[in-house]
Amino acid sequence: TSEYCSSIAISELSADVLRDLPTAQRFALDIGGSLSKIVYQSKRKWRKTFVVYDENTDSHLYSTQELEKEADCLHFIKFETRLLENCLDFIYDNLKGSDGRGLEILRNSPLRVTGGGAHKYRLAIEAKLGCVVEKEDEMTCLVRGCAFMLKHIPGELFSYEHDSSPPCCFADELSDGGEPFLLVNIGSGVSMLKVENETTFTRIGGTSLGGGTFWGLGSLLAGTSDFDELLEIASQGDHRNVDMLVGDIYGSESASSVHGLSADIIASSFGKASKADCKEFSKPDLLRSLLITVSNNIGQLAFLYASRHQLRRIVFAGFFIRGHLLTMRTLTYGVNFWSQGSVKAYFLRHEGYLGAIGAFVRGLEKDRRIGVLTGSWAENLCTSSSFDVGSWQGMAALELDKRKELTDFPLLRDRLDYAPDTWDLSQDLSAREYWLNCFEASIDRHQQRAVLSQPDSPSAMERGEAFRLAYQNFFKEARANPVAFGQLTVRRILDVQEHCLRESGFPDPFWELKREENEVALGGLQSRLSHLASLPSADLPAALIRGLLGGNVFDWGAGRVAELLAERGKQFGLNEAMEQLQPRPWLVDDLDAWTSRLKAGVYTCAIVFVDNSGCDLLLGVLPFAIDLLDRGVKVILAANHGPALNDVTIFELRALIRRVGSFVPRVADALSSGRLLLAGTGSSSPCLDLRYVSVEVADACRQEQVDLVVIEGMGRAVHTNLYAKFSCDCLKLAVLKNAWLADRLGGDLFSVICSFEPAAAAAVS
Amino acid sequence: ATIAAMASRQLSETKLRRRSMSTSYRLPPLPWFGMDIGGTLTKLVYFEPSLDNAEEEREKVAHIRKYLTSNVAYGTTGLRDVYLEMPNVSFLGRSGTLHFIRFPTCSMSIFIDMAKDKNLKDLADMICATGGGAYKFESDFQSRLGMSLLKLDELECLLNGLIFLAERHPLECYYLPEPDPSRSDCVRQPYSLTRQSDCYPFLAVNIGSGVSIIAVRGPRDWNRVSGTSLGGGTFLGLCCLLTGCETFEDAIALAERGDSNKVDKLVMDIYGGDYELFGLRGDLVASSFGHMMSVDKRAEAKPEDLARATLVMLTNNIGSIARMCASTQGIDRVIFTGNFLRCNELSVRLLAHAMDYWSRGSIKALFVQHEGYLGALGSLMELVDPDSINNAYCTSESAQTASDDSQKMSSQNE
Repeated sequence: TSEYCSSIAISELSADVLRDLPTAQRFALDIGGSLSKIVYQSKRKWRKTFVVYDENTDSHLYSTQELEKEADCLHFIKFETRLLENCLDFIYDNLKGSDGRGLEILRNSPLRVTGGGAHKYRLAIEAKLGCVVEKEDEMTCLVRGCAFMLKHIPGELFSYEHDSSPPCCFADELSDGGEPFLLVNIGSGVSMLKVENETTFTRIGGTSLGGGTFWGLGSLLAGTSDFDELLEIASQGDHRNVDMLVGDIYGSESASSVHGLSADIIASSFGKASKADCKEFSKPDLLRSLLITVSNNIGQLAFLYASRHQLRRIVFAGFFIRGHLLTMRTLTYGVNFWSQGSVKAYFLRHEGYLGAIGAFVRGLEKDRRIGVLTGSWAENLCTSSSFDVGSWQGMAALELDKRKELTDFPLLRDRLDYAPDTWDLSQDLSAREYWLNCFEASIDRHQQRAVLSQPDSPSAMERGEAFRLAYQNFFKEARANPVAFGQLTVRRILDVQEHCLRESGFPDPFWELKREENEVALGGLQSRLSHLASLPSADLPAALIRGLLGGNVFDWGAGRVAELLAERGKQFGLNEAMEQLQPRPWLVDDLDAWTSRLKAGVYTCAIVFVDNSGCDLLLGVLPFAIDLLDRGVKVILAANHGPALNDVTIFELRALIRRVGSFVPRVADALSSGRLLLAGTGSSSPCLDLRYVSVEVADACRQEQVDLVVIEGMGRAVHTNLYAKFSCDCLKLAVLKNAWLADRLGGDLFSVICSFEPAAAAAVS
Repeated sequence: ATIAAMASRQLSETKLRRRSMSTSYRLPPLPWFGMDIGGTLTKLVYFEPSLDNAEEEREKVAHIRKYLTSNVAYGTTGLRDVYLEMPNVSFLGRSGTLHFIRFPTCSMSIFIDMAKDKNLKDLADMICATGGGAYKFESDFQSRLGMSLLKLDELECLLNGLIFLAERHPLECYYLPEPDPSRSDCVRQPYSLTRQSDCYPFLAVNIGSGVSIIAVRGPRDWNRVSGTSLGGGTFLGLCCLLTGCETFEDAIALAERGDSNKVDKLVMDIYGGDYELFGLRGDLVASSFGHMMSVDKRAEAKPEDLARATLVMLTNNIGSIARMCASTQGIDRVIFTGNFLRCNELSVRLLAHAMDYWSRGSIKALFVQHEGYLGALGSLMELVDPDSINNAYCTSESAQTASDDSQKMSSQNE
């Protein structure tokens, strides 16, 4: 009966669900009336690549090693409360299994428990696990949990938009923690909390008509007490048979013709249900009416409290919602109807886990261990369950991996106005079809490459298959439900691909290819530099841009290019790539504007977000950067921290630039004098989300007074950031190596984007 | 009293028609009726002129008068609320008695038959009517009775009726100085609400099938600020479904005997006592019907407990919305009207207590004796231009009448 909430069943209570238990460090519980949630932190072992650079002994540029490394992980599991004791037994056994070390750690600090069942199950938990249980206040946990999710998970917040398909629109308007908002917790009863920031909130009101009212009255009316069954029955009913509508009182014609009001507006809930009408009412109709009555009323009260306290945003949470479409629709309707659109209703994708993570955070605060949470936590898209808004499912499992601490890119013109992704595949059906097909068709290629990247591993074949299954499963879910993983974008798909590879133990399938390309390109650098040096100085800026664009053709992520590279191998060099480029004028051609601006010599420091290894970096970007250095402009080269496709990582970049320095003295000088800086972006994606960059990059931008942002490549400058606005000049460079993309932007394959956006213009537009 | 009344554009139309009427009907022919056709109940106010100045009363008028005043029940469903009767009222220069009659709106067809039977058509060709039913049944009145309905704005009628009664009838408006939901002997204290007593602003909360909430700042200065579909119709509908009762009176009687704590989950049921962090007392309802998902608790809950829980839930919810609206509007007096409060002491006490408790005494809840008939009365008053109504009221006998009324009230209370 619990399929709608997709919690785990007892038969599923296994190491696959409660992963990494033997290394679990801390637990927190949220025990609800029907569902309970557990959150724990573990040490997970990952295969990771390390770049080792030794110029004296190695025949290669650098060597890459794969090692196992521990990293923190947060696990969230949802299960039926009646299985609580089985779950505790399972946890006990696992912790005991790890030499009793796990149990010892567990007993070191109190176990934080929140939710209605905290009181009831306290003794049972203490007896089973031998630890001290500390009750945590529900509302406090909720607020902490809400802040945690909003901070770490992009697209956590969404609104219900009835006219969209699917009806969820993602937003992250609250993530900056600016304006206070109203958090409405719909549990048995309803509490309205005014949230000022992560830790400050006030309970400004509530109502006793809450989830318990739907559940209790629904049980009386339907004769069954299963909450999800009640919702299911309600979804089949028609409330108009039970409720008295405006049309019933005024007559359906005059309601609209005289008053301009919809005859469907409910004048009296259950108004037709009195005995005077001598009718039999169906359970679905009654339950639907009840659901609408309760959620409409909560929506109205929430609006009243919000407007009383001048709050423009309402976030609904609590077990009553559990992703139920009709509930969200009615709550939203109530808010919209009464506020005339001046107040907006939001929901949270991981709403079910707010209490549990809140209790976890509270525990860390109390134990003065809040440092455990420093850094950023990212959704593991491979191991987390999908979010199914249309069919009652909440999240069953969620895993967050600890990352470097990430922050906003300081040069965004308007942080709140920034949306990284150019296309929303959740809403754009044809774009979705195209990209899902496109990426799904590449699974084989990626599987092969992954297996080949570990020739010495006997388990590589098996893990390659695991990668395929996990990745294929994503496509199945994303087709059935385009918001299964939040907003669906090309960036999201690429993230899933990276997560599935990492999860299957393939941290860097392209490592060898990247090194090979880097070595080849490095061999051509000197002659490339000489060629550029021979050009009249007036032609240099254009030649550098052309070279950079030619270099950007070398992208193993693009199917057409991968074919070309495979066909022509080493015969396909920078010159061949430049021949592929669209002749000028380009699709977006600001080359002249850029050239004259560059010659004006106005820049202090440029940050260049680099893309592919090999020709792209070494023959395209590097000469461009050297030219900037020659012109007295400082340069920060920003590369990914983690591997993604054939994109260069910061570790490879460091090795490469040092090698370049050995034969290009200008580079060695710039590096040693701090005029050339190398920074890791904190990302492991072929795309670029500027809401989440490393502190290193953000600090460098401030310290060096960066006044030019250069973004290159399809992933960073087209799929993302195409419309991003900056507070300084920006140069976006990309070659459209994909026919669909070219078509969408009104060009052909290998069309060129060379977009120069001066800061002043950006501020005006 | 419905959400539809929000469309106050209807008002201008009404005023237009009233002006044209006032010239042609300076003193309309008898009998004088005002009608309020709601979603559940139709309310009728009938002015019975005193015999001494009814010399021109025709035979048919006398016939109708005798029929209405010699009966307290009409057909199977019509009833006259004798206890609300107001004698010695001066209206349009006449003195007489106001009678208050109601019947379920679903019996409208029977009413029309009866009106036909009594040849009402021969006396007047128009009835002043308000409420949504004035629209819904207009064509029935036209086709079956040959009478037209003068459709009037229901909220304006309500407010006119309210002020008329409050000024004419010193005990019309009252409050509970010490509201206590658990005590059935709460003292009702009269409250003076007249144009002279600086009665504006106030919030009018009319609880019929649904609920309308109107902010009133002056005689013609009002707007509907909110409302809810959780009203009297919800109470009766849910009670019928949950307890098998058949009438509002039965449902109220059940509720008076019941114990809602058997049905509702209290703060103490969840937190073991008070929820101290937020200052919530343990005996407050945390979740209405919150115990009823338990099979055992369902088996224990009696129909009267369910009726009580339904009443408490809806009453408190209305109180909560009303209080929010009052404080948002900066208003500290809330007048509750509508038939939900008829013979419903419990809700009166709950509302009075809830307003007092949650506003920490800053908002006062007021109630009226003729709670359900304000709209019908207001529509009766639309027989003539409001200015002439005012003139008609200001007669020398008003003081006399008022004291008579107060005597009548106090004797009833004994």
